[in-house]
This record gives sequence, C-alpha cells and structure tokens, in this order.
Amino acid sequence: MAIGRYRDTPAEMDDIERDVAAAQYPEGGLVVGLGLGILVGVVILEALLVVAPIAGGLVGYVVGRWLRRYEIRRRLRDRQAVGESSG
Amino acid sequence: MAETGPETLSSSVGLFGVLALLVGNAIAVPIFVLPGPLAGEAGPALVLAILLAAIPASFVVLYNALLGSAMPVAGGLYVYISRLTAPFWGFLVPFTIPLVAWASLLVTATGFAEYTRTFFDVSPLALIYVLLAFVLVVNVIGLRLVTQVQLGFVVGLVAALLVFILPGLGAVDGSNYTPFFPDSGAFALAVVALFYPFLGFGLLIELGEEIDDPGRTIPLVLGLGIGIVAVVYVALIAVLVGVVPYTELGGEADLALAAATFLPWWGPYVVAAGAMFAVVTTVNTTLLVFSRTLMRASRDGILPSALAEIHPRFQTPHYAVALLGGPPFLLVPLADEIVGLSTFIGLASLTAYFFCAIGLWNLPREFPDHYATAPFRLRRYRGLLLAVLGGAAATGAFWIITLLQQPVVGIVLVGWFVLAYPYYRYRLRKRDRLETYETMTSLDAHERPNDRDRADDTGERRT
Repeated sequence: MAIGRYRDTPAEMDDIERDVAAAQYPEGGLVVGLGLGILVGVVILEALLVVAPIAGGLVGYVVGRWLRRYEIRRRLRDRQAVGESSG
Repeated sequence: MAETGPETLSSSVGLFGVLALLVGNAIAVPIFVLPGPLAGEAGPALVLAILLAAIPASFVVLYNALLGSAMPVAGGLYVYISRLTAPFWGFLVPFTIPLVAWASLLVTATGFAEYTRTFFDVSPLALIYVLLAFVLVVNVIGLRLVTQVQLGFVVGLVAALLVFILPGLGAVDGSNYTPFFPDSGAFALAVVALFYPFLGFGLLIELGEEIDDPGRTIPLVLGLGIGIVAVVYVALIAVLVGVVPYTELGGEADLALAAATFLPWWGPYVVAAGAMFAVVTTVNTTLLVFSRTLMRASRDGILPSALAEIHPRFQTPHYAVALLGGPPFLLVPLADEIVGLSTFIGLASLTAYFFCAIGLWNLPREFPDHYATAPFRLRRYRGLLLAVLGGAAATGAFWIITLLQQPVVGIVLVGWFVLAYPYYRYRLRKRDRLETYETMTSLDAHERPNDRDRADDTGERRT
C-alpha cells in the first residue's frame, strides 16, 4: 500500500476516507517529527543529529496515523449521530 | 481536471536537441565552477569523490529512464511522487524547487562572473546581476529560443573542454596526488556537493511532455548522456588536481589558473570562454525545467493558479519563471557560499529522488498499464528492488554526511519541509479538498497510455 493511502486505489475510498487522506496526517507528522529531532540534536548533543531525526520522524508518523484513524472515527460518529437525529 | 483539457506547452524538442540540452546542462557547473573550491579543501581525493557521486547519479539516471519512459509527463518528479507515493511528498517538490533554483542560479552566476573577469576587469557583483537578468529574459521568451541558444553554447563548451583535458592529461605531475586524503570530512562533503553536477539528467523527465517520441528518446539520451558526462568529469578533475598542487586551488575560476600551467598564453582565455558558455547553458535550463514543475503543481491546484498561466505571445509560464528568476537578485550576498549551496542542491535533489524510487516501486501496481507499455522496465523483485534499496542507502549516507559536516544545510532543508505542511493544508482549504486529492493521485487524460501501444503477453512492445 502506498504511503498515506488506505486502499490501493483512491477511487475505492469513501468520501470520509478521502477527505481525511487529503490532510496527509502521517506525512505531516513525519516531517514535523523530523524537524523536532534535528532541533533536539542541535540543542542537546550534536551526536544525536544522526539518531534523533529518525526517531522523531518515526514518532511523528505514528502520531499522524493515530490522528488519521481518530479523525475517521470521529466523522463516522458525527454522520451516524446526524442520521439518527434526522431519522 | 482530466475532462477540462489543461493548457499544455506547444514547443517540441527532438533527439539531438534533448541530448544537447542534457549534456550542456549536466557538464556545465561542475566542470568549470565547483572543482576549484572543493579541491582546495578535499585535495586530490576529489577524483575519487566524483566517482562516488556518480553512484547515486547512476541510480537517478535509472529512475529517470524507467519513469520517463513509462509516464512521460511535464512536471516529472512532482507528478511521479504525488501520484505514486502520497500527495504531500509530491507537494514538497514544487515547494522546495524555488530554493534549489535560487541556489543553482547563485552558484552558476558566481562562476560566470569569476571566469568573465579573465577577460575584463569588471565588478563581479555587476556581472552576477547582468547574468541573472539575461536568464530571466531568455526564459520568459521561451523554449524555442532556449534550445537554439543551448546548441550553440554546447559546441563552445565541448571545444574548450577538449582544449583543457587532452593536453592536460600529458602534463599531470604525479607528486601533486600526495597527500591524497588531506581532509576526510571535506572529501565526504565533496561527494554530496558533486552530486549536483549530475542533476542535468533530471531534465529529461521534467520536459517529458515536450519531447518527441519520449518512450524511445528518454532511455537512449540518458544512456548516452551519463557515459559522456562521467568520462569528462573524471578526466577534467584528474587534470585539475594533477597539474596544480591542491593547496593553490580554492577559487571558482581555477580551471583557467590550471590551464595557464600547461597551455600557451591563449589557453586560459579558451577555458574561460568555455566556462562562460557552460554557465549560461546551466542557468538557461534551470528555469526552463523548474518552471514546468511549478506549472503542473499549479494546474493541480496545490499552488496559486497564476503559476500555470502561459504567456499568450511567448507560450511560457511567465509567472513561474519570475518566481524562480526574481528572488536571486536579493540573495546575491549568499553567492560566495558555493560549497554550501551545492551541498543543499545535492541533498534536496537526492531526497526527492529517494521518494521517486519509492514511487518507482509502486509504479507496476498503481499504474500497471503505464508500466506494461514502457519500452524500458525491470522486474519488480529483482532490478527494481535493488534500484530502490541502492537509492535509499545513498540518500541516508548523504543525510548523515551533511548533518555531521554542514548541519545548517540539513536544518534549513528540514525546516523548509516543516513549513510546507501548514502551507499544504492552507492550499487544501482554498480549494475543494476531495477534488484536489483526486487530482494529485491521478493523471490527466492525455497522459494515459494509448491502447495501440499496449504490450502483448510476451512483454514486448508492438509497433
């Protein structure tokens, strides 16, 4: 599966999945984590410049994936609540 | 997007024109500008550095050949990465391209100024501004003129190279090769910086939409181009560090200095003239290539629409060219940082190609029809996997070297990537989010493979 996608073909996603996928949470998390990792290396210890960005990027990516799942669940709940109230 | 029939560029470039564009762009800057400053620090080991830089460059050539023949589109790297990995990774390409273009213009304009001073005692600052203005005007006027100018300049620079290399090989003094490794850190950084000169090979896929018969032309020109350029690079650097002690090197016009040691009085002038041609060909194509990528990203809606507008008379994306060619006028004070700027260009570019490699791995699955009709392709779990892993290893090594030897370069690049994410989200808010996502994960109608070119069961192309 390509990075950032839920299914191999974007057309197979439903509208909520596509909307959340467009935000690119894991990818955004990865670059922000990478940046924080480099900042840690610069501020604390230069030797960390090799390890900290990788660790930061991984943590950022995992957080981004969690956020993506959370957003999908939240929107599904909202849709169900609207459906129930209107039904 | 697919149904609306997006505006495309009308010019067309044939095999010889593409080879001239490629070779002219690839050999220009490293041959005349970078070796002096790099050799002054890294010493004779620069010959080894250029050979090592050729390793990731060969991966890049392979990626270009595979992707370019399977999906010839304008805006190459951006399109490949956004369609084959994820939209945000693709977005980083046009978002970072202005920085790379500005750095590239500054490096080459500085080299141009230094070599021009071989003939005239003019302020280098004034020469840099003159060249930047020339490049801007030529690129706004259009590709047809660019190609004609390029062909003439390539002939001039090839003649100058032969004048330097052939007699120079006989004048090499073996004692200049010791000590071979005066500074291992500078040597490692030189490998990263010398990747920049090989980037002319990326030109092909960026111009895919404008190349005649791209499926045949792109692999052919890349194979010929890498062979020519690799031989020239090694020979030229071997002569440079072999005829002058490395401790006397360090300037951007050192090839003229070296030529004076073994050629008659006119030698430095011939080399300087070649350098002026070479630098102009480099800046000539820099804006040409990069503006097409901005144009495509703008067509997709992820950059402002003005960047996709084509000038009614010149048929060029004039706003995109202005964005790339204008700011360097303000950044001229940074032009002395030749090694740092080249390292930045090398690192940013190889990072983009790393994502390209991941996209290449995804290509047979994401766009199987394109891969099936490609004249040049590899088996997924053999050649393709090796190409991807090799590119990943080279990219990792470049990042480690840069962060340890010149951390500011890596910090600026990652900082720029971090800024890219809020801007990406901002652009999504300005547009229909779902439509933008779908556009960035699919190709235009005219970029889909033609049924009559579809491969048969044997995997061979019908003609």
